[in-house]
Amino acid sequence: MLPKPARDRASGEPARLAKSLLLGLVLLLAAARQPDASQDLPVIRSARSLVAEWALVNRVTAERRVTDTYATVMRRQLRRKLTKQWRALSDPASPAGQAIATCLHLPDDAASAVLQAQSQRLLAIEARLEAA
Amino acid sequence: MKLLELTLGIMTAVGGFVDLSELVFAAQAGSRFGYALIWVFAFSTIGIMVFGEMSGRVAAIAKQPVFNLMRHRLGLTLGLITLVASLISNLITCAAEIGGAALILQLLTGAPYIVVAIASTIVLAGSIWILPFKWIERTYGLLGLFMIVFAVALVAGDPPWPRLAHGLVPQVPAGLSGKELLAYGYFAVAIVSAVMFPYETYFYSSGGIEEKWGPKDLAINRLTTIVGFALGSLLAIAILANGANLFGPLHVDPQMPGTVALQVALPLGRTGLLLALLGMLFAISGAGVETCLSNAYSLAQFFGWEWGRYKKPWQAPRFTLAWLAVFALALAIVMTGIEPIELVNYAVLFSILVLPFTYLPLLLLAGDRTYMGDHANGRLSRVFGWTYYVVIVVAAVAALPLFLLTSGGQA
Repeated sequence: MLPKPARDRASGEPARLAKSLLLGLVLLLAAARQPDASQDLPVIRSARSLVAEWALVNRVTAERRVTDTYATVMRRQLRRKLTKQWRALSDPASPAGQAIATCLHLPDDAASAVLQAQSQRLLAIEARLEAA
Repeated sequence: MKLLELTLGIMTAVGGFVDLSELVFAAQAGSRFGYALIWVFAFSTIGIMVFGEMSGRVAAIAKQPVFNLMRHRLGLTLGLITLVASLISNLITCAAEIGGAALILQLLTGAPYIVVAIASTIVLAGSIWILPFKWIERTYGLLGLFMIVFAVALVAGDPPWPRLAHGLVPQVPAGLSGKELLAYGYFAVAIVSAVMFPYETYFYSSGGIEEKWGPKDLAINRLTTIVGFALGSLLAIAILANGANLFGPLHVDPQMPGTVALQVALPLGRTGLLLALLGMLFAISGAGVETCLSNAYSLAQFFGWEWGRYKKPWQAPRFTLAWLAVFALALAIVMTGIEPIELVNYAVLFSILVLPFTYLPLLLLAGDRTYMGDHANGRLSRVFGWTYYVVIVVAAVAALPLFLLTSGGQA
């Protein structure tokens, strides 16, 4: 066990630190706000990457660089996550929603180039939203 | 024998360095910002070396694990707040690691996610029950060395080495928009948090006590933390560089651990993929065990229970129940269906908020000659320790606003 004086000597510092941290946090949070125009941006960014990942999985599968089990499970996981992102959009009928829906209607082993094209489409939408 | 101990210690530190959060943040950081965040990995690695060495030295000399210090140095109220925050942070991390291990097992076997999640939790719990502490650490650490395949893939991928080396220079990339700058800031903070996760020092110092370290072990402690963590960090940097080299041009910001394994499949094919998945499985599982035990250590040390894996499970019943409960809770979180990657984001956020309270008592005691005698912090340790402490406090203050402003780095 440590003797008491050690605690007394240092106990004021952490309390002051905690107060400063809390104050800093409140000030920074007050400055934090989410612009409406880019509300869907994180979802679109994530969906764009998921479609690009799917394209890459299908490319390496065609090149026989991965196992069949890996390809099957990855495609299933990607489709599930992509569906989740589509549902998270504020307007699933928006251009981004349409691009994601197009991908979801494709077969698991869709051509890599087709998926890559949809990823590029989402990337363009993402760039427009970022610039807004 | 000493040389064997040292080699095993270093290899264990290397294999055990990377966990799910580092895998994800390193690969995404490389894909989004090229090589520009390598310096943050290098910088934070020196930080974990400093605090890791300190926690090992305090364990060897003052015989005090981190949470015992916390209660004495922070007082009961602040100590309790830190304990609760650490428990939450470790629990979320443990759940993320179990979920991550299940995802990898699924890629290897094709079995349903819930089944492999339950199976991997049982195997992890079984390994803690059966293996002595040293072999828990070594088993996962040494098997995690399969991760070296990521470094091999980097060399095989022939990246632009001068640009990669330039990534070691602290920088903010030119031409980023305001939003991208915020995302860059969030990634920097997340990497600091992922590399310096508090559970690493809880586990490391508790391990020192478990293994009954004394002054004669200080050299091994220093070499393990410096050489082991440095080599481990090189693996994380290899994942980042592979992300920049292979994923960036394809606009892939890996959303799943399985995608990270493609870094190896692209240059090395199926064998590389299998080695990468195995390395990831053992590294992530090892982190799952460490976070689970860290929670049990924290609780037992804070409340003064019997603890330690050198005792039979029934000789430290509350400690045993604690780690079993952590695994059960972590599995319950996984069963809700929440994505492990989402959990990683929350774990990183919680952990950076806890870091200042974890490292302050350690820093104070390691510098206190009353307890540490001649082994108290020297000038170099003091300068490094307090400099990193200031960085951690700044990162902790900035973490939550950056998380909200960037939607966890996605905006």
